[in-house]
Amino acid sequence: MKPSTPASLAGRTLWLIIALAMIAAGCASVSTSIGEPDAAVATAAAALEDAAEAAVGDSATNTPSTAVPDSEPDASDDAADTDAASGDPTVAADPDLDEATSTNELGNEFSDTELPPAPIGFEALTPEPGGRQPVSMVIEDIDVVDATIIPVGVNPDQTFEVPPADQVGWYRFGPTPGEEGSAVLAAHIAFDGVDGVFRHLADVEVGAVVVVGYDDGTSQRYRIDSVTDYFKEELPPELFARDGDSQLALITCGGTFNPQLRSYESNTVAVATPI
Amino acid sequence: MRRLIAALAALTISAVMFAAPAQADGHIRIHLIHGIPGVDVDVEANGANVFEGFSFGDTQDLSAFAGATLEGVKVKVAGTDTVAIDAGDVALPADGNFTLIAHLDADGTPTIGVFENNESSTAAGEGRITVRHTAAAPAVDILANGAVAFENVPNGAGGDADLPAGTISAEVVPTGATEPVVIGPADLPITEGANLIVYAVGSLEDDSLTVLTESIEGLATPPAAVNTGNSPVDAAQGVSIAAMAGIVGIAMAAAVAVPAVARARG
Repeated sequence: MKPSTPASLAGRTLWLIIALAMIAAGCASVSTSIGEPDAAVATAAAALEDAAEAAVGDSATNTPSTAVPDSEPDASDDAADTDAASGDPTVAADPDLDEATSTNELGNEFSDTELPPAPIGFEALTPEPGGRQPVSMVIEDIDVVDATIIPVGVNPDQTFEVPPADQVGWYRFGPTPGEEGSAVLAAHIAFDGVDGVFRHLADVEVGAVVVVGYDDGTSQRYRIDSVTDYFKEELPPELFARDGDSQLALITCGGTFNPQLRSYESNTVAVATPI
Repeated sequence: MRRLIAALAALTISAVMFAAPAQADGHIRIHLIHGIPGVDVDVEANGANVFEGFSFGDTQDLSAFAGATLEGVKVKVAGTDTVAIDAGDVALPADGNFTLIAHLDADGTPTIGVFENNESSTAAGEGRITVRHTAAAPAVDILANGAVAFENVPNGAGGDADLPAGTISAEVVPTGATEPVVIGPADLPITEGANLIVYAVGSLEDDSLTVLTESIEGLATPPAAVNTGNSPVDAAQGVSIAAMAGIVGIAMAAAVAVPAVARARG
């Protein structure tokens, strides 16, 4: 499945574990973003049982909080939830439900079914100013010295808009490096005979340090966790995950060069996490 | 204040049990939006108020009731028994992604519209814009960047389009006319991998037209490929370069040899 890789066997094994974890995280994140109601259903079911019990004796005092699901739980309600959850063996037995119970404010009713109001008027659509953006990268181990990072998107054929050989492209539709999810930074290995910024990415050692500089003058250090080659058509979509643990996915080309297609058969991917 | 009365919860445990199997396929999302400006309402179902003081723009997640039938749904002016919408029994879908919106029909009569949302993935670099006519106004044309994108859209209808991420200028005008501009022009953000849904709400006659929006995220597709090289690198490609040199060498030798043979024959 995977072409030969210069990365160590240990590195590949580590990557496999990380990939599996990412797939698991990816599934979880999909159900959080697209399938948010799933959690609502599950937690609502638990809440309903609680509510049914509560309704018998004390429905009049069941005032739901107006808090949205992600907000800080009210201390007293939280305590009540914990009691209710621990008293319910079906909830306590399932770690996912337990998690949902502790992170959603259920109260005695399924107040988590309340959502923030729909924005009214076009003014509500004015985008909030973005946060810091990545502008530079250093990976001393492979001679990446203050390479310029530019925000990129996709080409008309929906392939990654890879910048010129002396720059690194940050996939601006995905997460910003340092934020939740997998931030993708891609650069050429070689273009028109000129070495690209990621010419030696396949040689980077696990443990090497990546420093990303931002437009506000701040920087963030990352540690290389794995280096893996994938056939291009098998590049894991999780590398573009919009949520989940924060990581960098550094991507370039690798494997066999096809002179007819003027293209490499594989992508070399180095995954790094914040340190 | 919006309240979900516990009595409903007790009454609808069976509804949630219906919902549980559908939950497995991960495609339940039913949201209810209050889309009638200026009127706070209570919502009654199964003989009791389930939401009280539901205001314009307020949203409720009904996903827990997927597959259930809410009996005798009435939308009442808040704090009164005045029925604004008598919706009868409302059977909620067992799965899928739906938005129910209480809104005015073309004549200004309150009604409940049910829209199925398009959950299909968007292409890399694109986002989806959905526009729905839920205002007391005649049929409209919806213009994007000055061109008609959706033509002759009547109340209760809408459409969606996938566009490159960025900003579009949108306007709503009476069908077949360029003015008066009913709504807009306004800049709408097209967010990659997300669906912005815009509801035209309110009443043209009452001069209360505005928009409500909701968004659905998580529709993104990764780029089709990451092509990060068009030329070989020395160390890794030494063998193939040598092979190519060999082929070129043979070809050159042949090129030299053929004329030599030709001359010999001549």
